[in-house]
Amino acid sequence: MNNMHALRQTVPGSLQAQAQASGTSLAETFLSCDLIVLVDVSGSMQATDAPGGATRYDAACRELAQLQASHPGKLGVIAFSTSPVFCPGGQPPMLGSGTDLAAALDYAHLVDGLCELVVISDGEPNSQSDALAAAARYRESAISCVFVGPEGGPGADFLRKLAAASRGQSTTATNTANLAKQVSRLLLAAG
Amino acid sequence: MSMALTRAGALSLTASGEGLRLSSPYDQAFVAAFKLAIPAGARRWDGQHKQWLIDPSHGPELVRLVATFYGVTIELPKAQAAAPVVLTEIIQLAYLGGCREREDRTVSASGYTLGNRNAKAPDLVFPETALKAWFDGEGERGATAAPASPPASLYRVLCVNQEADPAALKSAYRRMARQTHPDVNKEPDAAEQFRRVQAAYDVLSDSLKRRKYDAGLALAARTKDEQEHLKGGFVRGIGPFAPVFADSHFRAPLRCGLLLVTGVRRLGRVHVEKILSWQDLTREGRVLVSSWPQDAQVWREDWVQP
Repeated sequence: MNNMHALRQTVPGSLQAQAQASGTSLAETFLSCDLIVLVDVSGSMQATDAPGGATRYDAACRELAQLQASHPGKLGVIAFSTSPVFCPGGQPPMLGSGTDLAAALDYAHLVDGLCELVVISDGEPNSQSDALAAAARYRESAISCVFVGPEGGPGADFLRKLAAASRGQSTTATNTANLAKQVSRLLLAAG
Repeated sequence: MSMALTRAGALSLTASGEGLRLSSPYDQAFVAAFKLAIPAGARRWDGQHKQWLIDPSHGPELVRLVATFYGVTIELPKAQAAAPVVLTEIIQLAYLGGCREREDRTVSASGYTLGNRNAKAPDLVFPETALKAWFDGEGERGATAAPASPPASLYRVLCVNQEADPAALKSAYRRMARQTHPDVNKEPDAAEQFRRVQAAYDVLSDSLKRRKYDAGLALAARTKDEQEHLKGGFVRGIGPFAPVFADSHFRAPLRCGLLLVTGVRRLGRVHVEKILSWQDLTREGRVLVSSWPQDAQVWREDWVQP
C-alpha cells in the first residue's frame, strides 16, 4: 500500500474517526486514549509468514483495525522504521527500511504516565542497547511487547528484555494470528 | 464633481480628502460587480452619507463600471489617494464579527468601535491572520506559546497561552464564563459557547488531563511535519493530518474589548495588522459583554458586574 494512501485511511474507531464523529479536535479525543501502539513497519515486516501468506505488516494492520473498532478512541497508533510517524487515522504506512525502536520510544515518551504502551515488532531493532536505554527512561508507563514473527525467532528474547526494562509484559502473537487478543488483554489491563 | 442623470436617478462622483465618493441609485448588479472589481480594502460604505468611498487608484475601473451598469459616461475627478496613516492605537472594540471571505478573496472580520451603532458601517477591519496570530498564540505573543493549535484549541477557548499557570487559567475561565454566559450572551449558540468554556476549564484545570491534552496537541502538530517528510509537501485539507474540522473561517472567542493594535487608517477605517493586547472593556466598574442576537439588526451591549 502506498504510504500516503495508508496515511489517508481512517480506520473506524481510530482517534481520527472518533474526533470526526464527536465534533472535537484530535487533541481532545486523545484524552480518552489509554494505549499507544508502536507498530514496527520496517523492511522485515514484509516477510510473508502470516496466515494465508499475508505479510506481517498486512496482518498487523488488519488486527489493529479490529482492535480500534472494538475499542473506539482508546488506541493511538505510531508506526516506526527509521523514524516514527503518528497515525491518527489508525492505519500505519509501510515505511520499510531500518528499525529505530529507540527513536520511536523517545518519540512516544511524552505520553509517559498518561498511556500504556505496546510495541508490536519482530524484535530486531538497529540497536538493542539504545532501545533498552530508551525503555528505561520511562518512569511511569509500562511498555508491553508483542512479538510477531516465526516461532522461536531471535527477536522474542529481546522483546522480553525490553518489556522487563519498563515493568511491561511480553507475549507472542504467533504469526500475528492472536495479536488482537494479546493487545486487547493489555488494553484491559491498562484501563 | 462629476454628475450624470441615469434612468434610476442622479449619480455623482466627487473627489474628497479621503478619496473618491460615489453616490448612485441602488442597482444590485452594479454593487455585485463593484465589490468584485474593487478590493475590500479599497472601498468603504459610508452609511451616514449613503456613499461609497473609493481609493482613487481604482477610479478608471469605477468609471467603466458606471458606464456598463448605468449607461452614462462620467468624468473622473482628480483625487489624490490619501497616504495610509500607520498607527499604534488603543481601540474600544464594541463588537467583532466572524471572519468571512470578501469578494477579493481576502478573509477578514468587521469590527465596530464603541459609539458606532451603524451595523452597515464597520470602522475596523481585522484580517483573519491577525486574529489567529493573537488567539492561537503565534507571533510575538506566541514566542513562548504553543505550536500551531488545531481549530478551537482549549487554550483558544479560554484565551490563554499554553504556559498559563493555574491562577491565570482560573482568571481566564472567569472572564470567558462572564463573556459567554447565556444570561447576557444572546447569540444563538450561547449555551454551546458557555459549555465549551466550562469543558475547556474542566480539562485544563486538571493537571493530568492537561498533560494528556498537551500530549495530544503535540502529536497532532507533529503529524504535519511527518506528512511533509513522507510526501514532500503538506496538502491542506487532505487526509488525517488536515484539521479534523475545516476551520470554515475563524471566529474570535471574544466579541469586544480594549485593544492595543498596530495598523493603518485608510478610507476612514482602521485596518488592523497586529494585536498587541486585548483586555476587557470596563466602565464604572462594569465589564462590556457584546452579542448579536439572532434576527437583530445590531449587536447588543451589556455592562455587567465583574
